[in-house]
Amino acid sequence: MTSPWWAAFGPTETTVSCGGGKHRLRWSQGSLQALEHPDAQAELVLAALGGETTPCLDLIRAWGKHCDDLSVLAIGPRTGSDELTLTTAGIEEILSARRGPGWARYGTGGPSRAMFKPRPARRGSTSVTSFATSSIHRVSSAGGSPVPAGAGARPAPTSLRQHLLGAGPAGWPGPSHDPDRIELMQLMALGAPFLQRLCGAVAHAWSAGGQHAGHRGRAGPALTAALAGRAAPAVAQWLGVEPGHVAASLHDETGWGEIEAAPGTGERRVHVRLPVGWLASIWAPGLTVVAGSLVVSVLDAQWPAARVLTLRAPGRSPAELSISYDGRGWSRTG
Amino acid sequence: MTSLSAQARPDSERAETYLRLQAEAALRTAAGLPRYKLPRELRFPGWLGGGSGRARGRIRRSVAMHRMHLARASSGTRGMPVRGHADAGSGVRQLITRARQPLRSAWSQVVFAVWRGTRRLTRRFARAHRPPPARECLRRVGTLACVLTGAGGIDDSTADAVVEDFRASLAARSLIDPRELLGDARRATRPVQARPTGQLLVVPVGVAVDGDIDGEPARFYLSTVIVDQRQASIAFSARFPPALMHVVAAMPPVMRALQACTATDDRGARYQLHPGGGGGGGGTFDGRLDVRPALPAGVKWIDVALPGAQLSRISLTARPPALPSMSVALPAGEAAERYIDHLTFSLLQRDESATPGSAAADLVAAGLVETSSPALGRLAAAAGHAGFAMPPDLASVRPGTLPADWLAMMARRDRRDGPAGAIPLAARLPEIEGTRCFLVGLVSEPDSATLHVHARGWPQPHRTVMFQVEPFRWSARDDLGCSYVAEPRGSSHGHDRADLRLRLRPAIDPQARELQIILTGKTAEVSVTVPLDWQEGP
Repeated sequence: MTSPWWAAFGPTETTVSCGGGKHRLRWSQGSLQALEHPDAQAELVLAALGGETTPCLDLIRAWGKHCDDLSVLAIGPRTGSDELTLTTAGIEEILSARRGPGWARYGTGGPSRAMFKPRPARRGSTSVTSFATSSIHRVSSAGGSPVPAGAGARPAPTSLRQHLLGAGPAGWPGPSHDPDRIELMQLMALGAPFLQRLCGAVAHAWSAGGQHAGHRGRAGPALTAALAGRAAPAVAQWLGVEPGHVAASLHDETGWGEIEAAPGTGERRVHVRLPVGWLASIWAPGLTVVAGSLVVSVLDAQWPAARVLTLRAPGRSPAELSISYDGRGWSRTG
Repeated sequence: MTSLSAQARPDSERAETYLRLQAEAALRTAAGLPRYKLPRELRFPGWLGGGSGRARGRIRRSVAMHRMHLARASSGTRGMPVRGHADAGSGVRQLITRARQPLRSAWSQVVFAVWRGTRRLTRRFARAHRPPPARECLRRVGTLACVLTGAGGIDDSTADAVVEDFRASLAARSLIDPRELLGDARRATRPVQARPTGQLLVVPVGVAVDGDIDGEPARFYLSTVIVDQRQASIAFSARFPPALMHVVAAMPPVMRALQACTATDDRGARYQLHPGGGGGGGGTFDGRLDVRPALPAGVKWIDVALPGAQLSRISLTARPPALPSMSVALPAGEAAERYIDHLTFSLLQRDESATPGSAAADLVAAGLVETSSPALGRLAAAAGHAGFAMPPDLASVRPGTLPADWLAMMARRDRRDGPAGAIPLAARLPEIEGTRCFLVGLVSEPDSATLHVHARGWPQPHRTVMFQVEPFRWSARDDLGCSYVAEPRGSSHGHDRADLRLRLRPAIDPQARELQIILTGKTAEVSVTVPLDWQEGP
């Protein structure tokens, strides 16, 4: 593949509460930008030196920190319909319930309904997801314009870092949770389009050509599980088998990999060997099954069009296919 | 001492992959289960301020203060402190404060009564809290992580990472309580295990006295005194009518009586004794009384005043006899076999029909044990004795031969001829994996025995009870060739110290003259042999 891993992704935007207003976060061409903070790098340096930070900068920094975090793949979605119910408001509520001050916060009361994101009435394949109780109001993928804040939205804290470190009075139990985990949850609450891209970034970091290529260390089991959890539903959809009958392993050699169906008359079992890069360049942009074929490699891509290698059936040779994104999903063009 | 085996270490990468793939399968299963439902709450009445979260907090504090007041009033100590008492310099302010106190008290009683009524209604009519169905998937993954950790296949931190990521996966999809998103608070606040430091002296006592608590007869047995630079503690056992453990005004009468214990040393200085840990039930309490303030150097004896009992003099100059002990290094490559043997060994004394077969099947699937392993043969033999079937994956395992001391243990399984007595043990086990253990008491009863252990540097429990991995395993063997299962029956922890209670089964053979107490860790096994000179017990 000559294109970068993010070539099949379109841009996406969302808004977050920051400094008393609504600021836009935009992901495009593999990176996250805070549009209202044009010199974010300088602000990050100042923040690192003890200056003030903002929710936008915190999210930018958290994105950079977690874009090779394997927990993203362990927690993140497995399929397009596997939607997380995280909201920023819900995370804030959990934090405030745990942060104290004092005994009155511990073991009392149940979770509130604000912790849950209302299920969307109908799953759209692409564009707008609304967050009724979240400070992130609308996510518009594929380059749409952001929607202004809705009424009744709760403002986000002035700083995520303050949120993480804000203990109660001295001597009282303070926050006992892992700040990295909270940052990760905040990123996941940005919405499905961002989460897909974050998963892609993590997978790319551990694939050939990524920052951890060649020194994978002890990440093998986590990557195998990440691949199995995502390839199995895709192959199940492609071949009509049970996901539990699909075994997956990492393909570390050259080429796209291997897919073989075990012969026999009983339950059909399929073994899939794919590289980690498959998660970044194919699974994350939603290219897994197009026109009844499993996409195994991207030859060339420039969103919203791509040229891919697809398999009609296990054991066959892959064939080239030109596809494009039509606003709802990927479909064959040639 | 034997040298470490040159055997290959277990394939931890394969074991971790197995765990993670099982977690993926469990997540697919959980995705088809109903989502977590919020427990339906009945709101506190609005006229009492039940609307806002802040007001609810005030009510909870008020209720808690009222309960504390009740507890103090019943224990005869000072009542609820009056706000502003410390700076009540002016007489007018004091008068106002005193005038307001009955009003405050009346209001507090009203709030408490309404709170209690609402809570009763909630329990009766609101949707009861039920664990979400997906919790079973979490239990499965957590249990598997414990099995693989116990068998040496993966380390603690890997197991924690996988289980916590899985927990977050379920919570992020609202399949379990979303508050679990951030994991287990106890895990995050886990203290670092401290290395044992400083000198520690265990003095045998062995004093049994009769007393009474609230007019009911009670018997106390003081086993040993544990003295270090900071503190002295008395290991004790108490027996009393079970009703004394029922909570009256926020505290069982036994605990209130123990809190009132005092001691006087040979120089006339007085000390307070505080229950510093322990547990029990059904008319028994085994634990530790901490002496406060710390005993100064050079004290020869103390007189202890227990509830309703005559003074018991404890000599602090006695020294325990030297006892034979051993330390053996264990081969790293056999950790999984040892784990299966431990499961099999425990199974031989267990009453319930739970089987360790699925754990063994997981170890085979994770590549930690071969199906030809002798440990699996012993498990199959034990399964045959206990009358349960091995899992289908292990159906081909041929039953092996059980060790003679295990068979002797099975033969004594239902015996109730254990000696009734106690031994003021003051035995020290060799240091193992940064932990020092002292046996501080052994109490035998007809059907079982209880071993009391004081440990320094003992790993603090850091997982939820659901996924607790025991860092060490205990067992015992007598001089007649009979083994004993030692099951943890409770523990209390503080700083780097821990007090453990272990139940030995079957009943100790009355003919036995010596007992070897064995502690097995990940890399070594240590033991100490104690003489069974039974004395009058609790």
